[in-house]
Amino acid sequence: MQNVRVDNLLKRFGDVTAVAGVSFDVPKGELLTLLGPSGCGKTTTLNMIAGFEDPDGGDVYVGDRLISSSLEKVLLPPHERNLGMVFQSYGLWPHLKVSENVAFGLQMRKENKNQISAAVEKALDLVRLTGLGDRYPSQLSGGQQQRVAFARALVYEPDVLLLDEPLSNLDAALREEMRLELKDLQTKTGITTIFVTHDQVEAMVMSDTIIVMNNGHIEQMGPPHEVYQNPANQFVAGFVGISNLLSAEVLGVARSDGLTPMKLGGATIFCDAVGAKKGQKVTLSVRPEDLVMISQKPKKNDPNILQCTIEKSVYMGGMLELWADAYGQQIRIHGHRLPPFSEDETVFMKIDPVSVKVIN
Amino acid sequence: MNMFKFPSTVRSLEWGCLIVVGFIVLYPLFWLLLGSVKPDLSSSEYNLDAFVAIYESRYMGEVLRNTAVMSIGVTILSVLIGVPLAWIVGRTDTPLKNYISMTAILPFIMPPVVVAVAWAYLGTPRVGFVNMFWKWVMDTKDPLFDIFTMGGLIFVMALSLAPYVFIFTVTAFKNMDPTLENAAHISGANKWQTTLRITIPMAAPAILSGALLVFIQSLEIFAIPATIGVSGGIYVFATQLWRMMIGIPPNFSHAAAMSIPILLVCGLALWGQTKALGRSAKYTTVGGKSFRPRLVQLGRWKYLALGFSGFYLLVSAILPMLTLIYGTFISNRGRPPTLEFLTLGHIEEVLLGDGGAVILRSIENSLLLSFLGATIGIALAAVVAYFVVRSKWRLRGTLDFLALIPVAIPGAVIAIAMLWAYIREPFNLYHTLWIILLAYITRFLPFGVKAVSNSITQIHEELERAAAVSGANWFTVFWRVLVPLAMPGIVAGWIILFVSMMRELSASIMLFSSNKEVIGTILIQLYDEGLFSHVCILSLIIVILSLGSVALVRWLTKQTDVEGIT
Ligand SMILES: Nc1ncnc2c1ncn2[C@@H]1O[C@H](COP(=O)(O)OP(=O)(O)OP(=O)(O)O)[C@@H](O)[C@H]1O
Ligand SMILES: [Mg+2]
Repeated sequence: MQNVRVDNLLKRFGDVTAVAGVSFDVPKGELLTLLGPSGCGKTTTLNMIAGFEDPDGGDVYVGDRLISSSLEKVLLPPHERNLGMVFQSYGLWPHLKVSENVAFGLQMRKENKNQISAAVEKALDLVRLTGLGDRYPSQLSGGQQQRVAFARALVYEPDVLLLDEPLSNLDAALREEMRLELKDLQTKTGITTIFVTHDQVEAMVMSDTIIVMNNGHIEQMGPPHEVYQNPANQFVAGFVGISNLLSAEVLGVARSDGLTPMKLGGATIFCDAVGAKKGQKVTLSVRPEDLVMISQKPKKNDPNILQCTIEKSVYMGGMLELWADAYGQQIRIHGHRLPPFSEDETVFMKIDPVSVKVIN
Repeated sequence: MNMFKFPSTVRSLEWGCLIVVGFIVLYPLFWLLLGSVKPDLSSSEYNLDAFVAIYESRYMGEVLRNTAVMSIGVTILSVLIGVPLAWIVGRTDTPLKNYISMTAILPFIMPPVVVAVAWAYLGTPRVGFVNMFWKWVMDTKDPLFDIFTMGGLIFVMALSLAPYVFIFTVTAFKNMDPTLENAAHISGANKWQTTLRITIPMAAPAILSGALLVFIQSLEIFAIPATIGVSGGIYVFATQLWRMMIGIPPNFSHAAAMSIPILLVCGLALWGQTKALGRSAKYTTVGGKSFRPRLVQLGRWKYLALGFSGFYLLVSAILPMLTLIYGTFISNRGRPPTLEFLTLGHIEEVLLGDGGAVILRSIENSLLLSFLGATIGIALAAVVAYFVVRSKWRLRGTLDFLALIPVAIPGAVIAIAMLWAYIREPFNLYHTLWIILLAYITRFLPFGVKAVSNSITQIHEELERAAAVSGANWFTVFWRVLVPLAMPGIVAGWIILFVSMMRELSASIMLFSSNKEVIGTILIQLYDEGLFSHVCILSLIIVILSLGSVALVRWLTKQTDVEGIT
């Protein structure tokens, strides 16, 4: 297995720039996720790494092997790149048995028959499909087909595994199960993996590193908790999880503890805002689950408390989803109180300074 | 659940439809069977004498051998032509692919009877145009080939039938999920390995279904064996049947006995074809959302691909067409086509002269039969198609099956069966145009059903449900919603039936009588009489008529892919 380096990849389709200079590094054995909305260029990026699309610019290295470079005119065809790939629709060959599907890559590598059948058996064991080698793909369930696709991609021990939304064809319950299993599989085999999805939970659960993409470029790159807790901009804050984006104004300079006061309607919010200047307009990002309801009415001028008027309350089973008005701005809250809130009820929400992020 | 409660009148309509289709398909077959075991209808004795007589007859071994060699040879050659063409059109970056894919409409434009006479003129050893050209270029006395041989017969048949393999295979190639090939590439297979191990095997069911259809057709086509084959003394099943029927007296029971094994073979082939088609549909279900089959970059090989395709189109369409045009306007066969030898005299002769009367009468008869036949046929087909696609009736499958049977019955066999069935009370249709009409409707019913059901399948059932919910009864829904929406399919189906009937030969040749000739039978008669220019004119009329119809069908169905038509 190898690390992957992607340098300034570029792809245009006519006037559309599908991928606009994307660079990243995947260290050996890690799983990197490309996360982003539909049409942001994830598949195109992956296809350029696989060799199914010819880049208009940029380089791709696997280990120290240059497999694609528009400057040096290197463009290895897919079959010479030694990559494994699992496709969204699985792409299992319907005319071949499960074992023949899995064996294909080894046959192309001219392994001998005994080695092939041993390796196929091992791969099917690995994905927990022992004994199903003689079936045809159409005789398997969706989840099983999925696993065959993994076995087929892993059996010849490729340098890198590419996954294009491999779970999106499964139903919700199976998907949850498979993402843990997939993560397990990746850890067990220790294979360097690039994973494409538009499902942020999937990205959170599986990744070592997440790249959030939008309109063909990278918005943010980092480990899952960082992307979630410190969204670099409004797009990331809005796309990864739910965020309340609230406008506020800097009231003064930082206190001795490093927190800066902000004016948010009638409330004062202290938070970490390095380099903020008095009078500057800022956007604060607060996650719905970080708003904690307090039962007693606070004293006047108590900081970090928002007075909210409930507009709508929906019981979600185990949780309440609330829409409320705070000083003329709409705000979403995840609450836990029963009986549910009534409309127009006034509540007070406390925010911990560490869960407020200033976004430019 | 029923779409909405079918009122009992609808159920009776379904029954009526089943009975009509069942009758026109099964009643003649019943008489065919009876005729083969009961040679003398007046006695009550059943025996297998006819089978024994055929089995022991001198000619039987030869006819069987000829038929087998021809059919298998034609099937193999058609695959060898059709599959590469389909691959070239469907999966490569060969230039001029749009022209190559014209292959798909060839059988519609150039019916076997036209290809047959044209190649008879092209391939005669002494005066065939191709051979004359060869002798002139090579400065030799030996012809390039003799078309009146088994090889020539197979060659001309395959020219005519290869498009069926092409149509099925190119559809499979175009609808193949590109992910399947990408998966092979990423696993380490290069483009040739991928083509051989993934693309072609995945198209195998489609190829097989095309091949089986060719096999059935090769048993059914009369025109080519009757011209190319008979001139070379090669008799196959279809021409042998005809020989039995024109004997005096016609030998019904022997012909019937000979038909039965062929019927079984065709039935088996049709069954296999349906199965293969089902499998092919499974293989080409689209999975992913990005659906753009990747084209193989041929590089310098594309010239080979282009050459291969060009050669096929040259021999199957261009040369025959040139022959027909030449024959229409040349004053004397063999003259060079320079201005001084061109004439409109032949056309004038056909339109106004004595010899033309019989030609014009045949055209008139064919027009009448085709118009009536297509109209009645498509009306029946529309109702059948509707029930087959939409009804939840228990016997729906039976109706579907009955309406498909004629595909597996060679035209000559249908004709013999019908003669035997309708010659007697209460029908007495012998020597009338009605029996030909009935034969046409029966033969082409499956094509009509297919055309209409394709178009009904594309209509959202919600549209009918919406009308029903708004209070329309079944008949109103059928007339006001379904028929207008399916109209392009119905009209396209009508045209397909009309054109097929205009040039029908296999059944007509057994059923026509004097004054009751049709275009196909007259064409063969003119050919036998050696009237070169008349044959060319009549053939050209057929081709022009067919071309016009193709254009009309394309326009009506907004079909951009030529493959979709046939
Ligand atoms: N072959 C093509 N021709 C033209 N435009 C294309 C082509 N392939 C992709 N695009 C365009 O490039 C952009 C990126 O497409 P891509 O398939 O990479 O998106 P994606 O992030 O994978 O989206 P999804 O989540 O929907 O799969 C889109 O705007 C798409 O319409
Ligand atoms: Mg995608």
